[in-house]
Order: sequence, then C-alpha cells, then structure tokens
Amino acid sequence: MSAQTLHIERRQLVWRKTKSTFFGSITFSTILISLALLVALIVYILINARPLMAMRAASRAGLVLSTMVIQWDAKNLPYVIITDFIPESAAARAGISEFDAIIHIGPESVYRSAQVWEAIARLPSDALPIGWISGDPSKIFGDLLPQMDPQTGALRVVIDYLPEESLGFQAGLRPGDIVTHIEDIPVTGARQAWEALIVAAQRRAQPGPLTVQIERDGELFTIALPAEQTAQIPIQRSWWRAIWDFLTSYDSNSPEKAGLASAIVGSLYLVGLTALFALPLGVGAAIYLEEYARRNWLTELIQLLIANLAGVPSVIYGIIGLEILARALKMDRVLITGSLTMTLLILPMVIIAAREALRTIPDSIRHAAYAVGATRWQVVRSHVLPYALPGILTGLIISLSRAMGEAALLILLGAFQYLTFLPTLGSYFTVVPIQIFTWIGEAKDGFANIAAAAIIVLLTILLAMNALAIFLRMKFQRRW
Amino acid sequence: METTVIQARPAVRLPQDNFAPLGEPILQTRGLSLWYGKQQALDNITIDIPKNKITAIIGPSGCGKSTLIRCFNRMNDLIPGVRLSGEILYHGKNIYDPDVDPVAVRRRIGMVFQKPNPFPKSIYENVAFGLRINGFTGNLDELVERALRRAALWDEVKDYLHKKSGYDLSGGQQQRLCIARTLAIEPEVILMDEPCSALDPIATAKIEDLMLELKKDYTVVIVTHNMQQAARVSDFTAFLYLGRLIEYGPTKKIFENPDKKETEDYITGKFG
Repeated sequence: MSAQTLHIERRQLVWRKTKSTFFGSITFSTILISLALLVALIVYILINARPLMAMRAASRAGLVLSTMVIQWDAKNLPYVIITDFIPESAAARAGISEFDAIIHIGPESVYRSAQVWEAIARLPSDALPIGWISGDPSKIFGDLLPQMDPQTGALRVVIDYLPEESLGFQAGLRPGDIVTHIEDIPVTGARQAWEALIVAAQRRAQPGPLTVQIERDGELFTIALPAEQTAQIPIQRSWWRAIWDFLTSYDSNSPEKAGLASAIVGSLYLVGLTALFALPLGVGAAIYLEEYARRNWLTELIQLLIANLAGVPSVIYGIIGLEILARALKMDRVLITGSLTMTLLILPMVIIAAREALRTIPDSIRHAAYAVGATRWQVVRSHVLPYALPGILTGLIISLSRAMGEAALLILLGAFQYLTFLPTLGSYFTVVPIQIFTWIGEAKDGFANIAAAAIIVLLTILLAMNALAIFLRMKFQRRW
Repeated sequence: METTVIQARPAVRLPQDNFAPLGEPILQTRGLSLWYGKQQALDNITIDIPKNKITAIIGPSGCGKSTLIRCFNRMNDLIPGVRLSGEILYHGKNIYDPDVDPVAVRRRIGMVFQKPNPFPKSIYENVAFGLRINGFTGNLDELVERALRRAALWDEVKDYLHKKSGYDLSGGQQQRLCIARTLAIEPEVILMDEPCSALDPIATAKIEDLMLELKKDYTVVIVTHNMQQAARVSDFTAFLYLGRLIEYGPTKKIFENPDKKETEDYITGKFG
C-alpha cells in the first residue's frame, strides 16, 4: 500500500516538474519576444526621430521648408519651397526669401523637404551648398504676358516689362521677347514658365544656367539664363540645441519649428494636479476602508464597485468630465477640469494600490501601538501610514504614469488644441499624447518625425516616473 | 450585549479558599464568556488576579489562554465579530462599561506579545512613542533611559539608541525592548502573551529574571505553554481547558497537588 502511494507520488512529482518547465519555457520565451519587440519598437521610433536634429538646424538657418507639387502631364512633380522668411537668418543673409524653391543641395537635386534634412544630416562640414530659384518670377522674367499670335492664333508668352536688375535682363532678355521654350519644355503661361524653370533645373545634375529659347523680331535666339542662384549657408548642427529647441518651442504649422513646450507644461500641470487631488482622496478612502470600516455588505459592495471602476474605459470618464464638470458645472474645458476628470480615472487604481500597501503592514505593529494606549488615528498616523507610504507612492506614480499617457479622455474634454502659449490652470490646454496624435495626423513632411521625437520624450518621462517608483520600492522595502 | 452575571455552574474555587491570602485583587473577571462569531472561546470564567504577583495561565493550545489575556486590556475589540458577556473589574470598575475608553484601559494595562513586534524605528523612538502619544511632557530621555534600564536592556543599547532600528536587535533584545516600551508609560498591569515562545533558552532566562524583578512594582499576567516556566516564575497558576477555567490556585499547589483530574493529566503530560 505504502509502496503504491510512494509510486504515485513520484509520478506526480515528475509530472509537476515537466509541467513547470513547460510553462517556464513559455513564460521565458514570451518575455524574450516581448523584450525583442520592445527594443525593435524603440529602435524604429529612434530612427524616425533622427531627422529632428537636421530639421531644427535647417530651421535655425532660416530654411523652413514645405514640399509643393507641380501638376505636369497628369503627373505630380514635387519641389521644395521656403515657407517662412526668417530675417537675420543665415538663409536671409544669403539672399533666400520666402517662396523660393530649393533645387539643389550640393550636386543633388532635391524634390522633398525630407531630402534636404537628410542632406544636412549627412553634410561633411558646417556649410550647406544650396541652389535655389527665386519664388518671385518677376525677378527672373519681369512681367510675362500671354498673347495670341495674330497670324496662327497660337498662345505665346511675351515679356511685357523687364527691370534692369532682373536676372533675365542681365542674361540678355529684353522686353518684347517671346519666350518659347525653357530647355525643351514649351512655355505656355506666365506661372508655367516659372514652373518650367523649376522642372528643368531639377533635371540638371548641377546648379547652372538654363537655356531659354526666345523669338525676337521673328528670329530665334538661345539665351543662357542663370536662374538658379547658389550659396554656402552655415549650418549649426547640434543635438543638444535641437532637443532644447524642440522642448521649448510651441506648436507650429512647420514641423521644423513645432515644439512640445505647451504639451509638456500641460502634461506636468495635469499630472501634478491629478496627484494633488488623487493622493488625499485615494489614501483617505483606502485608510477608511482598511482601518476604520467594518466588514459588512456595504464595504464589500464599495470594494466591488472600486474594482469595477478601475476597469471602466477612459472615454466613459471623459464623457462624465465633459457633461458634468465642463457643461453642467460650467467649468469649461480647461486644465483643472481635465485634471479632475483624470483624478476620477486613476482614483480606483490609487485606492486599490493604497489598500494593498496598507494590508502589507502586519497587525502585530498595529497591536503594539494599541497596547501602549494609542488611539486608532494615532496608530494610523504614526505607524501604518508612514510604513505603507512607499507602497502607496509607488501605486500613485504607476497610476500617474497611466494618466500621463492618457489621450482618449482628454480628447473628449477638448484638449485637442493648437496652443502657442503655456497653459495655466484656467486655460485651454493640450498634453503630450494628444500632441503626438495631432502630429501623426498631419500630411506634411516632418510631422511624423517630430511625433516620433515626442514619443521618445513621453517614454523618457514615463520611464523616469517608473524608475522613481522602483527606487522608492527598493529603498523602503521592508520585510516584516 | 449581555452584561448580567449568571453563575451557570459553581464558580471555580478562588485561591484564598485554600492557601495563603490572595492579597488585593487588581483584576477580577465575573462570568466572562466570549464568542468569535458563533464559536465560543471562553465559558463563564471567574478569576481574581492578585496585585504585585505573577499569575500564569496555562493550558493546551486553543484553550482560550490568549483570548482571556487579551480581554484584560480590550485587545479583542480589534478583532471583528467578537462578542463578550460578563464583567472584568479593574479596581472594581468594569472595563467593558460603555463609559470606559479602551485607550485608557490599555494605557494602564500594558501588553507584551508572543512575537517581538518592535516598531521599525530607532530604539529610542520605540520606547518614546507611548510617552509621546500619552502626552508626557518633561525629560523624555530620562524616561526612556529608565524604561530601558528596568527592562535590563540599557547597557546593551545605550550607545546606539538613535542609530539602530528596533529590528537590528536580536530576538531576546527585541522582546525586552517591547517590555521597555510597555514599561515606559508606567502601567499597573503587564500582560504577557507567551513572551518567550520565539526565544532561545538564554533569552528566555533573561526575560524570566526580568519578570521576577518587575513583580515588585507591577502585576504580571503571563500566558505560557511552557509548564516549567509557569512553575519557575509564577505565584499563581490558572489552568484553562476548552475555554473553561478548570483550576486556579497557588502555583505550588497546582503543580504538586491539583484538585482536578484534568489538571493533573495536563501537568503530568497525559495530554496537551
């Protein structure tokens, strides 16, 4: 009988062992795979954030870019223009002004702003060789006028007026000349003539004069027009400067100039206020439930409700905040409303974490304090709460890092704002996750890159918060 | 809650019926019964605890020793679902009267627990806590030193009162620190709930010496499952079995010439 039992026990032992290694291996490989995925994700985000430095450097040098499109033979031909004139910038000093088209960086033709940033990132020295065509056609051709040929009825483009300081005059064009071709592209209109210049220049491997065919007094001439100007623009490339600029500037229509300042301040305000509201409320509720309340059906119900509230989707809280706080109580969709709503969201989590922390304090400590004549509040204040505080703070920080990354709730509360000021308690606001969401939705080149940079900023803040939580737990961990 | 005393069965004979006079009783229970929920833990206990003596409560596990001692300073109030009937008179006043503050009771009737439970604070703060919360003014250092001296711990810890946490001490030192913490607020009665069960023999001997020393100024009630300890230190011994007080009398009599068969069986190790 006993031998049989022993036999069975041995088999069970073996079975348990195989089972545990089986699950152990699955757990292990799951952890490995998730770690690998996490690393891959971060690497992917880092790669996407890489142009940030070149973008900020370009923007500081006055090259705030935008990719435009020429519709040509049912094709979209992209080109890069300067969208913002920054006086006193290196580009302005070189003579580049707003709406100028950038054709070449060094020997390369550029079609999109991303190419300019790549070129800046790869630049061997701090001077950017740039070739551009003025965005003002009158500086090249003067005023072009479409006319109908009285004999053939064909449309032709005539130079109506040409100032002497224009590039065309210096190259030999005169008023009255009919411009027929730029390189091999037929000229059919005033605006089209400028676009033909861009396309023709982009086709060339180097900046250089373009051939313009004209008809003067019935004769055809070919003129070499140096429409593309070149200059070396000094570029200061610095990651520190780029990150600082990115963190301290406001949102903008240009990704080179857009920064996270209002979003970061909004997030910090929001999280700080939320902590301020959630800590006393959550700890108070936890102390009441753990130390004061009797165990009866009511406290059981409250416990159940709190556990359920922790699982309610944040959008629901957003609707509550919008309808009750913002509208019914007329608080408007300002920062303080946002943080109160956020408090509602994380309160259940804070309460649960605080209760767990309070529960880890052994009863022997409570009894010891009671036995020397302490009241309930003295026991809580002098012993239970101080010893549970690291655990409570850890729970609070973890909950706050969820609040930090929360977007859905705040979108409902109207934190979906284009802000060019630092938010205050009573102002409209935005936060980092929503700023990321906004930027990712932008079509313009470069917004995806600064969204990636913003993700890294957000991850860094969250990592710092979690590191603080881990530090608190490690430092004050106590075995009873 | 019932507070009427109903003597359902004849009260256990009190020590003065047999031997030397009890002296002035400081704690008296009258028909004390206690239930944890529906389970009865104490059944009609009537016992007088004499002043400035050591009274040991012995009995097998689960007989209600700890429950009884915890009634004396209302520690059972902290356990949910406890129901109690009968009276506990302290200087003739029922400590379970509605006008009695349990905090005041615990202030005068201190307790030392089975497992040493110092606060995770410095040695000084461990002793000073009771003084602080009870509003002692004056020289705290002096009071802390006196308590530690009385607990025979002063010489061992005087050099690092503020540096070491109560948790840095050895088990026996921790238990003496807990005794010092109890002594600091000058209670009249010290309840000890198996104070040596977690300690080695040398530490146990120290605590026992300490108890004999404390007897001069305090009344000590000790719960123990160690019969030798009860025989060594106590003046009176109560034997509890299944929630009932079987026999109570001078220790010498209980151990040498018990009246009841259960007592004799337990003392001689037939069960327990």
